[in-house]
Amino acid sequence: MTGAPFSPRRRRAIASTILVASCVGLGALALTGANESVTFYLTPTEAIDAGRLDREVRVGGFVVEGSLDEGDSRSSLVLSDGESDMRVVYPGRLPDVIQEGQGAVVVGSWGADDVFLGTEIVMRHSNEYRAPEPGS
Amino acid sequence: MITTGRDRRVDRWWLAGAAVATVVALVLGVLAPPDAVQGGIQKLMYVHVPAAWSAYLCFLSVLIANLWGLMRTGSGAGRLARAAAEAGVVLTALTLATGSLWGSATWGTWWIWDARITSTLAMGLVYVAYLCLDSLTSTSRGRRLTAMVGVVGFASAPLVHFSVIWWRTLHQPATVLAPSLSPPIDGRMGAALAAAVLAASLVTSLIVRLRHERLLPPASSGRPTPQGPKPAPHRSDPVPTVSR
Repeated sequence: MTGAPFSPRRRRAIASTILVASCVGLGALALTGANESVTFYLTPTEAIDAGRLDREVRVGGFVVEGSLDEGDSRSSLVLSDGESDMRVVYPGRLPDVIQEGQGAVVVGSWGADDVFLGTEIVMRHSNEYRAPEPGS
Repeated sequence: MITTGRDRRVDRWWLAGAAVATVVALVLGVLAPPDAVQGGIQKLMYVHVPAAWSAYLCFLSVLIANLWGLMRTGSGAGRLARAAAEAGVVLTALTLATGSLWGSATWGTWWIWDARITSTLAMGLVYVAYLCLDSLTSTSRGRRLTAMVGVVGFASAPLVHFSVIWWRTLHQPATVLAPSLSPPIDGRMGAALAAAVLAASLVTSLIVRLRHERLLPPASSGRPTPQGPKPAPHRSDPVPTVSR
């Protein structure tokens, strides 16, 4: 942060380089990052309406209670937005973070029989924070 | 460092306040229950949220100092803006780092390009660029340009804060700074969070204050130096400073 170890000329060179790099970074974020983050995920209803797309999509909803079915090579769950439900199949065990009744965002594409084939899955938690129930 | 006796006293009281608030926040943070869904990792909230809040505060200070500097040339407000921007960039990095750690434990991913995270990174880059520009400019025209970047750059802060409302994000919406009269948070967690935010605000403002003092050129501080230690060598600027 202070200029002691560098000569003024060196300092200017470093500052110019970082300035250009951060401007390039900002430009890249504006072009690609922002584009992707604006429609970060589709709801199950939107994903069903959109139908088969030739690219991967993200779908976000909550994991329906009692729908989790975990296996070593194949797991499945039902993702819902309260309006539409969709069955999601995931190759292998689900990450520990996925819980019934909580949000989840799945990356994948539609397979046969209206099953959504997930390749990545992350949890989406709510903005509520509460203490555990006594005894749980 | 050039400080008067009065400044020293203010620093000492400030430090005492920051220390007390930090201890209270630590105690409340330890005593608060873990989250029912996320478990103990949720305690990262008591670092992550105060860091983000303090970064906003810093960038607001950059805005105000630069507006002041643009209206009163030669007021030296640019140095305060620089001190605040430096702290803000560090705090933004801390926000991203703690968020990444928290995300890896609860979301199952270290990084994802959602609007909240992308805009936070962009906000950090805006102020990195601002700091570089500040180092590179020495003419009064250059300083005005820097100040204007510091003013316009503040647009990134509301972008970050409201990203969770304007767009769909993996990051959940705000719990406390949201238009709701009863934030959905356990009272003990809320108290720990409030104490942590207060502590972070005090620590940050003290650091910005001390850093600003270091950035002052030895001769033109305009403050008497009765028996203080020798002035620190002028460290921030290789080029002679005319008016910031």
